[in-house]
Amino acid sequence: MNLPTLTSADFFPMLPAIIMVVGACILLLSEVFLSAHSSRGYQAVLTAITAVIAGVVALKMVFEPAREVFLGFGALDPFSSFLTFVVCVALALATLTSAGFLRKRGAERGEFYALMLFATAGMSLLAISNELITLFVNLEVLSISTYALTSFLRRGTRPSEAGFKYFILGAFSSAVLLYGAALLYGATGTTHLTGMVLPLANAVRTNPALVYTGALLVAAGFAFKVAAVPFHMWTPDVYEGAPTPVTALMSAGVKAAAFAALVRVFVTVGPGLDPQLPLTLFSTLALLTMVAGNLLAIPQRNVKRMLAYSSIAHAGYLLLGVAALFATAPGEAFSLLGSTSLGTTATPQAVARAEALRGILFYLLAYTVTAVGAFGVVSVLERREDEERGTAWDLERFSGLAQRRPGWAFAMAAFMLSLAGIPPTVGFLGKLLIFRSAVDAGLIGLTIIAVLSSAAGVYYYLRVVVYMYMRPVPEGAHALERNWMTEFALVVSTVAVVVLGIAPGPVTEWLVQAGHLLGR
Amino acid sequence: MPLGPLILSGFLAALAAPWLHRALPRRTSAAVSLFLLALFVSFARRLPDISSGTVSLARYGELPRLGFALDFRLDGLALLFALLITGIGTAVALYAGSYLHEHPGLGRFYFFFLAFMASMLGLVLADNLLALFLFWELTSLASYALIGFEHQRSTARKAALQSLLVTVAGGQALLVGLLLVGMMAGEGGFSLTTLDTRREVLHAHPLYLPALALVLLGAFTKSAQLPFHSWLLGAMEAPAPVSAYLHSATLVKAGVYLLLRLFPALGGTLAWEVTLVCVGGATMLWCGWLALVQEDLKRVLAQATLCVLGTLVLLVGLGTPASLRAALIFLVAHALYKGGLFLVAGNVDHEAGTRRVAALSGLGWRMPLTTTAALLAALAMAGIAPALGFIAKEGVYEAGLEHPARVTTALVLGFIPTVAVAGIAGVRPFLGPATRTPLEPHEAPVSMWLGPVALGILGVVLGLVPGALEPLLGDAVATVAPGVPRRPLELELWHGFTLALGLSAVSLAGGLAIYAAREPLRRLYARLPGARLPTGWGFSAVLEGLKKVADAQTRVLQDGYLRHYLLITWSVTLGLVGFTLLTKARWWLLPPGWGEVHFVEVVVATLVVLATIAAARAESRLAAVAALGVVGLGVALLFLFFGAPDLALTQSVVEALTVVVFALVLLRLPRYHPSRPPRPALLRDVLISLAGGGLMTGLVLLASAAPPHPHVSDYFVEHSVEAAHGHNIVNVILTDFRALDTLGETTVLAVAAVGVHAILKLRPRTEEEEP
Amino acid sequence: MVPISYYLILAAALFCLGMFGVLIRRNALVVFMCVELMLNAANLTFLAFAKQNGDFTGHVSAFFVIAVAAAEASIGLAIVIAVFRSRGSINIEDMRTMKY
Repeated sequence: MNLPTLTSADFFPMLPAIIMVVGACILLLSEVFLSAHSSRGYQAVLTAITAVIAGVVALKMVFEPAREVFLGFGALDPFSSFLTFVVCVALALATLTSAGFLRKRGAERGEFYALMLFATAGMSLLAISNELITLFVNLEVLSISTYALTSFLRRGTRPSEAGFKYFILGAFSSAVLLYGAALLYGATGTTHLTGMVLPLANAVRTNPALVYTGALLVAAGFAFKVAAVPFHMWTPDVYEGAPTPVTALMSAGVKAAAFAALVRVFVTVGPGLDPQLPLTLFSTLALLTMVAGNLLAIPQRNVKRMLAYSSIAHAGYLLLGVAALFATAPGEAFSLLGSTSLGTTATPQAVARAEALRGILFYLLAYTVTAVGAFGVVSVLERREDEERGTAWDLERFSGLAQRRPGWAFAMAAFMLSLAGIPPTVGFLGKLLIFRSAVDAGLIGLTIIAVLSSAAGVYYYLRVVVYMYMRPVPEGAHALERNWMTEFALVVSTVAVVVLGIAPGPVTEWLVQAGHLLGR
Repeated sequence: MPLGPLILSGFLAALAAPWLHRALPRRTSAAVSLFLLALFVSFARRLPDISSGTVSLARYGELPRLGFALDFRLDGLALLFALLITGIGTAVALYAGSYLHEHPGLGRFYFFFLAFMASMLGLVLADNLLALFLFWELTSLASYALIGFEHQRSTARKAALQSLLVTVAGGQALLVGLLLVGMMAGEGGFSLTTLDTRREVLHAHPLYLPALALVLLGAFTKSAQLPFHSWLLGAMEAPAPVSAYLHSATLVKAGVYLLLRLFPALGGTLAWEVTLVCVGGATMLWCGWLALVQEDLKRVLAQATLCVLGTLVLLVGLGTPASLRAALIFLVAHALYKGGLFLVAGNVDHEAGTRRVAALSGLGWRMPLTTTAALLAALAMAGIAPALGFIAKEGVYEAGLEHPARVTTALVLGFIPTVAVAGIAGVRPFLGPATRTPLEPHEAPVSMWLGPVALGILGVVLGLVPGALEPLLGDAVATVAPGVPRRPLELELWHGFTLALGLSAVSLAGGLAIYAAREPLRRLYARLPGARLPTGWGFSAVLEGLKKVADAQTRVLQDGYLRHYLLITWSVTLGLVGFTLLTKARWWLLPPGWGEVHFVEVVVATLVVLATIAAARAESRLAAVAALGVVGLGVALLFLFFGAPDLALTQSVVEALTVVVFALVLLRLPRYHPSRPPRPALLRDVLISLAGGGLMTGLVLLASAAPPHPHVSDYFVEHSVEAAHGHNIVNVILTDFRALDTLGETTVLAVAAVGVHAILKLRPRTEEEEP
Repeated sequence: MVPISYYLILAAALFCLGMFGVLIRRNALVVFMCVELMLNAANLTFLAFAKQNGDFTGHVSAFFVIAVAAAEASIGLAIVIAVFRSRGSINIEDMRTMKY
């Protein structure tokens, strides 16, 4: 008889998360020995180093043979490993921008970095979760950390208001997700995603309403986390009220992790359902999200809020990629596990799905380096005194930035071009990959709408560039403080945005590994 | 030099130019000009190769899965454009150094100018649809920076933004169009060389029309066709060399280039012909005639450029060998004379201090060389022999005569105002009595008249010796119309008394008459309704409308009320559930009977429901907390009925703690607000909740119809002692089999502890220090 | 033995009542308590199905959910207190600093 045994190989996929949890514990313990006025410069560095180590481990895992671990509770595959890498990148960059931000506000504490690490550990665990309850618990790890991080700064009414709105809407969506999971469990008798496929096919015949409602409620829960319209309402308020580095982590990391879980759930249980369901669901969400997200951003003069709306729009493009994933041979079973190299026997559908998956992953990385960088620039320009009046993030703050800090202005211009999807930036390539796979999957109408809405996006992104390069420096502009860590993060993001935009070679090679999957 | 390094050298020169300008401010313009001349020569030397049928191909890296490859190809069409880009660039670079001399942004100018030049070269040399798009977007960006060069002026900023929005929006459409074309063409379809051989596949494809529409949208925005034309008028905010280079000779021709380039693959269908002829014709007529009413010298020229672009699009739309040939000749002639005229306009502005047509007269003797250049260009523009413009116009008419009479009529009607504009912009300011101008006019420095005079002379020389153009144009035509047997182009001034010559005479006479009657026409136009609308009002109206819609949407969706956010989210969720129930439910599967119920269970359940209602409605704070506690304990009791005593115990402990904590917190918070929501809102919320309750109840009734599942967890029961040495199965599962969850669980608790501490206990350090 | 339908209906009712409270109440704390009710309801559903299927997955799941809900409750309370400290009121109608 085979006994279930957990070997060290089972723990391997948890390694990035464990590294981050250990890093968080070290930070918390070190805080005990510090007085209120001790120097805390090491904390951001330590966090960033932890994130880099975890990221390197995750990158190494991309090349591991894919398999299920922990008796099927987790899955180690290139998809989850690459996503872990992406969230680690987000964490490293966001941490570097937080040091100066927190110091200016006198709020630099180990707890902040520990919570950032916990949140990222949750994201990494979410990416490997392969069971509904595991998924729920890890989703809560990252949610609860981000609730706390949102309200971390206690000055003014914004942080607590943002925290409360986020908490209530987030807890509500968690409840919806859990309820959906319970229904799926009721219909199939299991919470294991892989084990659910067969009973699900059975249950769809005997009790379709239960299955579909369960699937839809789970989808609604995730739609909230990825900020898809019409579940997006929390996004602008929370992104505006949260400390800017936390917003950066949320916009990049939380979104990436939630997309990971969303894709995993629907790729695994999708074949049991009506093939049209995931396709219709994600197409509709993509359509609403792209159009509304871009429209919402147009009148916005508050740059931080504009970036929040823009993150909604980008979730829309990602959903387009997800829809393309399900539009290729709908109803055909496939798995995220799979060979790390496409065999010669791969069907055209398998190749097309690999393309779509690769598009999603590359887009997430592209969005991460761009958005975290953009929020980094926002964070160095904002001044605490203006926050309560809400003018800290006004477009006026960017007036004449090119004359005052040409480096920052160049970085921000690169980020804006990348978000707008204009070459030669990484954002352009990301959009190209997504649109390409959508066109190949036959989603022509949706792609045209995506293109039209992203053309509207050009307006609000380039307005920032116009202000930086074409407006005079306003009278009485406050001094701009420099911080080497933030500037380092900006340099890294800018280099990534430009270099990956011109030569995406290495990343696409990883993705060839990461995105490969075979129809089983 | 191979093609890749040629383009790269342009970008490198762009990076180097600002440094050079800082080091040697006076020499940079000559250096840039020489650099462009070297490029020109390097391209010109390839002409014999191309004529002998050799096509240079080069590949510099690719992303095979994406279809993207940095492929370059030099064929007849590419060579023609490359020569125009580098040749006219040489003249403009020389000119710009003097025109903008001592301008603080001159270094920046060189950067964007050269970057534009290199992107434009990349655009015409690219042999891959996606590479072409890459350079297409780069030209838009460079054009934006150059239009907004004088960004102190708000009009320049606005014009720059408009041009960028229009061309980039068109570019996005083009991107999808190109993706579609590449996909439709099948394997290797993104290579232009392959694409040309897939004509039948493309034409027969069901997606041909959408793809064509998207590609044309891109081309029309770039080449400023109706209704996207107004950005080009705004672009006249740019300095004169930019207008001469980008907005007459090169950038705006990119759309025409794309149409020519894709003609072998996409062209020749009815849709192609009708769209291009209608849009091109409309642009030609509308913009041509409105050129007469413009006040500003540069805007007059810009309107005439629009007219020419319309004509070119129309000719490509006709798609006969004669019309394609005519389009190419006309394109060359126009680039020469319009580039020259824009530089002349720059000289006039620079020396006389105004560009108002009405204020300029009699500059001739005071600026003799500029005047010479202007007259030569005007000759070509009006299509009078011996200029190249004459041959071009004859070609256009001959091409038109192959088609129904309405085409020829339109072409003649489109050319008449061009003749008049040649008079207004090229002759009128220089002849006649001298007027007072803001500056005392005198001849411009040599670098500023050399370029326009050279272009003017070239226009006439090529008209006298048209055979010199023969190989170049022949190669280009061969590229665009590959199937057509190559024959001499018969470029000559004198064709005998043909119908085309008669039409020339008609248009010339008509143009002179219009020129004479321009003032009455202008007054007539001023009385028309809509004449006072500012340029680009359509664009502004669309933008404003979009902003209004966006604003309204924002006010509805993001009003800041948490309740409204919840309401929308919940309604959508309910809608999804309701829809599923309606479409998927099988009500006939509902279990018959209701089964028996234990009295205790009914009591507990009722208690829970009542307590829930109480918690939701309670006026008193403590009552609400107590009710919440009752709910929790009731649920714990229900757990007990399910045979889960351990769970019940956990639940009751957690619940008791929660109630205590809640009560403690409550004591520190203020009293309840007695305010009740207004009645309609309350009614709405009640209705939504009732709908939710109904749906959920229906749902669970269906759920109970599900047959029980086999005991999936038998596995755990069998293995818990053996594998994990535990007897409480739930504990075993918790700690051993579900290690992953337990890690998450532990982390959740840690996070909660740290989080509560962070939110409540940490105070910003500077708080005490602040006044 | 009771068919599990009754438990499921009870859970659905709790879920919707919680939603109702969230929608109509103006007090941040009560709104928050109602959200917790909804989590309880989802938990009950899990357990009811576990009973029907006769396996332990539901039991174990409920354990995890209870713990997670407790953690969530503690953070929620902390945030409510932070709201009160920052504006001296916990009326959710006042929380409109950020909009549009």
